[in-house]
Amino acid sequence: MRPLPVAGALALATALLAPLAPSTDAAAPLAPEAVPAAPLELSVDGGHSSVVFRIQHMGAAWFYGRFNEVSGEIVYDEASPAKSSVSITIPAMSVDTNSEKRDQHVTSPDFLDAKQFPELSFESKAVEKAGDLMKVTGELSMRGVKQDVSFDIEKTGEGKARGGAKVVGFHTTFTVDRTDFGMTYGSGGSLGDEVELTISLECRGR
Amino acid sequence: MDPLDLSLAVLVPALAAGALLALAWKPWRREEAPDGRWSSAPALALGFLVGALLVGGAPVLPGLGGDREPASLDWLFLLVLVAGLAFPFQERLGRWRDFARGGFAVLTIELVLRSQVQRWEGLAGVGWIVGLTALYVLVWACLVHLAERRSGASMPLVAWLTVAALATVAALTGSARIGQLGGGLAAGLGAAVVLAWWRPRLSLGRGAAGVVTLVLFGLGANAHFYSYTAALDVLLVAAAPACALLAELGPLRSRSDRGRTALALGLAALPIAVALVRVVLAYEPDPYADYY
Repeated sequence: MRPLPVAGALALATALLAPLAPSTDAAAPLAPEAVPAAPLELSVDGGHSSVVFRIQHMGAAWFYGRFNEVSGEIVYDEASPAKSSVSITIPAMSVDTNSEKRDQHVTSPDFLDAKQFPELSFESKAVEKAGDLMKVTGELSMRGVKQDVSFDIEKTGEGKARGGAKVVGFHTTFTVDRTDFGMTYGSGGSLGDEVELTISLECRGR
Repeated sequence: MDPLDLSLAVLVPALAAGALLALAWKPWRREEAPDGRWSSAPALALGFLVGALLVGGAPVLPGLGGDREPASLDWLFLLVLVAGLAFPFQERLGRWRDFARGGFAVLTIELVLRSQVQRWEGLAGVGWIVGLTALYVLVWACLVHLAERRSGASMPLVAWLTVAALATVAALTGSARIGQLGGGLAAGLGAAVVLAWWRPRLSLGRGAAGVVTLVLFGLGANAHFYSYTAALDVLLVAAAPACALLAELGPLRSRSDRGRTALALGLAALPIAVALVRVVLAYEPDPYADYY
């Protein structure tokens, strides 16, 4: 008896096993995009992040200052933004206005009252998708006053750090009224009430 | 604050405190004038509170601040309110009065320096609290002695000089707000000085010293612990009432009334002058400061 050719053997096996096979739909392979990505747990890299503010002086120019330190944790779920969260802490004494005397004044009870309230912080309460951005609502705490604020965060890019950890960048700009936080010094006079904060965070996977 | 607002923050407290003192003492009556000592503490407290409202707006009171807890200056506002109402009755405590003063000093330290107290640890923390309480009670005792020994403008002048000096030192070393708050009490004391000069029988007894000490401590503690005023400058200003008291001791007592007042003022001015010279010499105006 001549041996069955390979193709013939496969055909015979298929015919014999066909009744036991599952339906065609169930056998279809999963599409790669349907696999939900795990939320990214990220830590703010203070060395590569920036917190800048601007305030109008004498109703004329915008004056820019910055905070030299920032830390925090971000949970970033691209597939389900509602599962994301943002927690940021900024030491008030790290304010830098390019003048030591002015830094002292800004950290005094006239403004940030930094020795009594050493930290500015933000804790998100809700995150939702807003087009290509994420709309974050949460509680901003400054000078012992807590206020709800809302702003859009843009994911600016991502990469890999030397050790292989994922690196993600975020950016946001929003405005607060400093008098809402009890900083009334110079209000209606030399200094504007609105302070625009720009926060650019580089975060590393944990 | 623009200059007009700042003027109002001094003028209105002076008028408020002066009106209450005048109502109590009725200085226009030459005879059978009432003893208005009960009004001293409420009048000075009123001056400070009105000034604080004009400078910083309404304070946050415990349980009424929503998401905000009272901060140091909010507690000071509340304590001055309580002191203004309660201190006129402290004589009724009899021999417990001194213990009550010590307790009030500790309570003031705990509330006004709350976030600082939480950072103090161990023996150092105990040392700070004991030292500050001793300083508080000492300044209080000196002002009480001045008020009890002398009627007329002597004690209000020394108190005015001390409060005004602290306000100036605080404003020049970091916080204009603390300086402005001192301005309210200084204005109230200024009104008392004018009235006492007019009618020397006016005496700032019965709790006025307690209100002055409370504000001095509250603003001095804020200036040093929460702003950038050096401890030595605060201590030099706080030493003024004790220096003034030297005019009541020994051979100096035999001088005339006006002479003793002038001497008390001169002695009080000594440590204040040292503090002011130190602060002015260390003051470095920045280009940015021209605009404030």
